[in-house]
Amino acid sequence: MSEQMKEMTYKDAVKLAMVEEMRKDENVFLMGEDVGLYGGAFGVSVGMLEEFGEERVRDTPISEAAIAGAAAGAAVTGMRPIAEIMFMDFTTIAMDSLVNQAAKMRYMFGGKAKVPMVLRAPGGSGTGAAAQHSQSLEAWFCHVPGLKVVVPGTAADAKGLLKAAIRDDNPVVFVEQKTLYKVKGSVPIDDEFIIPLGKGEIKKEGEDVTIISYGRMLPRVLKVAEELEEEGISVEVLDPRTLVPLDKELIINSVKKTGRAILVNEACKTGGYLGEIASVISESEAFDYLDAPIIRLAGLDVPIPYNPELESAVVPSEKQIRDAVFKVLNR
Amino acid sequence: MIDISKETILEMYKRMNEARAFEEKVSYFFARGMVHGTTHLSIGQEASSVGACMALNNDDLITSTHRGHSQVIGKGIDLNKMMAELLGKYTGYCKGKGGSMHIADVDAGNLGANGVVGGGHGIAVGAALTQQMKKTGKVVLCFFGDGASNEGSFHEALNLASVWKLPVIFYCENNLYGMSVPQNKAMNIKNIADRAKSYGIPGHIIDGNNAVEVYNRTKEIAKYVREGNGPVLIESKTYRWLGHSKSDAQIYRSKEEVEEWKSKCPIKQLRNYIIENKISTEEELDKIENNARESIEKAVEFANNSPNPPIETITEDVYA
Amino acid sequence: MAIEVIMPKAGMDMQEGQIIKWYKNEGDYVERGEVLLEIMTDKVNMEVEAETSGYLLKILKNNGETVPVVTPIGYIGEKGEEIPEVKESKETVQDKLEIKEEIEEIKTKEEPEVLEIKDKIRATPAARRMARERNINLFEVKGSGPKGRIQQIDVENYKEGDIKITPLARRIAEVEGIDLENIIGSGFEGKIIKEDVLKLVGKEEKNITEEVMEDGRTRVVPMSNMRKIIAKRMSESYFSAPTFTLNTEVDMTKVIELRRTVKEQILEETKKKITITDIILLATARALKNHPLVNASLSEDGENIIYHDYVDLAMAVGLENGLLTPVIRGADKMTLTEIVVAAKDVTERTINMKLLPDELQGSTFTVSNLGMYGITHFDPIINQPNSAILGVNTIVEKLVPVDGKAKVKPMMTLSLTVDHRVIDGVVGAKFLQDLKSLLENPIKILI
Repeated sequence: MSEQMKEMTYKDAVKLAMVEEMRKDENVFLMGEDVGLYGGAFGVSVGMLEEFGEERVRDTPISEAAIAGAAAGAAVTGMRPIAEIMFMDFTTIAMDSLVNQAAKMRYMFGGKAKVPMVLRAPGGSGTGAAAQHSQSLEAWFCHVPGLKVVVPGTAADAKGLLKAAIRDDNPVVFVEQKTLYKVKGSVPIDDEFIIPLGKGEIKKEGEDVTIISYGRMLPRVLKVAEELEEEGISVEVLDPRTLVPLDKELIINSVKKTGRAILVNEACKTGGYLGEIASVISESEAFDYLDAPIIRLAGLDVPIPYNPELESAVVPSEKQIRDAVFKVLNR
Repeated sequence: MIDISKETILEMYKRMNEARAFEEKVSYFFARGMVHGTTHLSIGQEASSVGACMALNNDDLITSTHRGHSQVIGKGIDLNKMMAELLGKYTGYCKGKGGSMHIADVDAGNLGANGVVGGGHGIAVGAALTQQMKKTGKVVLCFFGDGASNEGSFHEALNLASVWKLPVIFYCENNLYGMSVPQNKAMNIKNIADRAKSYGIPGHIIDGNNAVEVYNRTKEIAKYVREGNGPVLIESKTYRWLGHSKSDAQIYRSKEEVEEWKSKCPIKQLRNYIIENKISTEEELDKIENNARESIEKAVEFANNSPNPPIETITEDVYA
Repeated sequence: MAIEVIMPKAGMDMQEGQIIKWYKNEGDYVERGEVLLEIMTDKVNMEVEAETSGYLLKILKNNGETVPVVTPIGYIGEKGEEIPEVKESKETVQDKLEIKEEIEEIKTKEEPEVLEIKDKIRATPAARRMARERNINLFEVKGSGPKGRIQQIDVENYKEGDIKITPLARRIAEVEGIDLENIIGSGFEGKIIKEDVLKLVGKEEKNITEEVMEDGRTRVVPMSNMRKIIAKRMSESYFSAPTFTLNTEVDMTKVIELRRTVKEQILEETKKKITITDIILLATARALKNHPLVNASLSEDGENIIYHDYVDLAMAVGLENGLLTPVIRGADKMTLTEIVVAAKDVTERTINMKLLPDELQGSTFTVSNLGMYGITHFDPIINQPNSAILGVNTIVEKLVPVDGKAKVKPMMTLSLTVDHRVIDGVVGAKFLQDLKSLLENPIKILI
């Protein structure tokens, strides 16, 4: 793998992954609302129309059910579509195509089909777009066997994981983070830079406590971890990156090492994926290494409010993360 | 032809001016970071939205859209509460929790703006079902755009409403673009009204920039619907002057096209109509315009002096 | 199938037992032979081991509850296994009414313990794992986490033998906020027991449950189980047996000499210090062999005399809050060294409440010594069903005429209380005479 890196935004890393894969494989194409000339609602695909033309960068009508359904249909017949749903909230409209069709075809058909599609959708709050444009619904998809679910938290991960998702023969829900789109990071420019799905990463090594987080909360957690390091508390930050399949081994080993686990995400707590991670820990041998109850820091169980103060109060804050660390350390 | 009263036409003129002033103010605030989130302006579509609402009875219902400021102002709304909501204040229609895309006044028959394209279709059908079952004599007007007519919910709703003969007016404000995608790339027909044929209901095309036409035609259609003849699809041809949202660079359309539509300004057209038909005077109309602007300034003052929602309200109203 | 855990009948006349503490929680796995709970019979605390391996599915009777022997108190079995319905004992309607009354009574009674003792230990999984690996009893580890939760670091820092303390004492110390370092343990090997802690906070046990009357000067304190048993037994003995006491003075010169002579050797052999009491016990055992009536008991119906061809000698051991009479079996067959070891052993275990219930039963004769408190004479009450008891008093230097001259001699009074239904004055007197002779020529007891 080349050592060459380039600073770029998360958004550009997503684009780079799509562009590289579309150059390599003519079966890969992008479709979605306003992905063409407009370049996507968040500008992720700006410029792609110029390179690949309307044939492979396809604007669709506002028809999410048809977009997801068409992706599944194209995928099962030999294409590798990337479907963009403008906001993760609108995947609700695409649910049948995704959940009842794409996810289950292979199994229902006795292994005689594959559905290599990627459904990209930006999730998360923090933009003031209120209740119908701000949700983090990743747990829903994790609950559907047959779907893989990826939530990159850095630019490099966005690139490596999206390339893996495009090359994967299964439907992959690729959850992008609206508020991370403009965050820059160092990204390998190697066009074979792939991060296998199901491989988490220790973003920061530590000894005292493991914080498992992904997506928008990851940079927040890392910031707190760095601050605590200066105060003599050694925090390990683990990003599973892929929720399904989950890198259980990495999680278990880290928790065995530190004996303490704090789980942080933006999605609502009730029924959320943190509960799944907590259960994985409890059911594993890591349980016997736990020296404090596992803490979940998640979004409040409310729709995302419009008012900015309320909106920011819904999701875990730096202070809450700090407090949780002190709590598990009995300080 | 329905005879439009002077009072109604001046009220319509007032509300269209309020809508314009309101949105210009929002645009101003947005540019200064005073409006959180995103906002979708309907400048250029005032006749289409206000005219349709004015044609309804006061107790009729509407479902609104993400581009709904003119619609709800047309229905008659407390501008103070609306501006407060835009600024996320506790005194707003939704206590600061909804924002621009979710202005609602359920008691007054505004079942809410909607952040999801096509989200209102089903709601309108259900609301009309209530009116039918309770024999209230009210009709429901469902606002949506050209883009939403490509959602499955549009087709399912029209079909259901037609077989049940529900009192609902499906009111499509065709502003020619679904965000950046022009109509001809999103559907293979010129007139969305043609889609009514599939469901065996009437489909009408109206000039959405002509307030008087909008008013008269909608009034007529509302009467038909109220009489129990089932739903009707109206396609109101109009144009949004500004981008889809505040972040739209509008590279998908030409400046000439925008200028051409601006020359068909619905407010100017109505003003000309009033003057030509000697319904009112320039002075009176100027006064209405100025009052509209003043009302907006007052609303701004009200909103600015309003408190933010208390933090403890964050978990309120999740459940009834 | 789920196996019942019952309140064991731990002693011939044990009718009921109190659950002191479950060492396992519901859902815990328990290995056969592992300590499952601690109970208190009518006199001693004892540990109950699991009879089978499995999960403790259900605890039917909780800490503090007193239940008849063989009552099911829990179930062990496989995870998820159904627990059989608790069998109704065959009781009559009358029984049921009585039980109901009892229940009412229990309900109306105030909680006997002021301090609430939670049976469950708060410890993190990591702490539990480490304790398991290092074979550390978590009950002895002080938790530094929230609500006293034991953290891994607590187990790591725990050094065995650092501070030995009973869980109850630890809990009280925690509640009272006492540093364990400041408590001197009076239990076995210096183990801190409840009383040690209570003493320190000025809340000795007798005060724990006291109820101060309105006048502010009177307190009503419920009896402990042990106290109740003593009260019951002593009144039964006192009010059923017609007794009298015989006293005689013994010259202890030679006993003291004998002790001095053998002291070093016995200490070297057994690491135990011989006491005057040990020699008296041996002499008594020897004398009893020649006086079978004094070593006999009366049958329960009071119509037969039961003779014993052995001497199981009970010795009264005074405790802070009561009295126990552990038994030295086959004392008549013992050498002096053996009796020293046996006496020390039962005394220590009595003080630590570690006696087996059977060790408190079946004596043929009892010795009660109050000499160390300077008592010169007392009338002991017979430990039924014994027919006599020997009271041992203090040794006093006295002027005694020897060959017409006054000589200072260490003299001690022996007080023998006898049950006149079995023993007449002459029989008792002859026994005392023999015993006196043995003590004044103790070489005889060694032969």
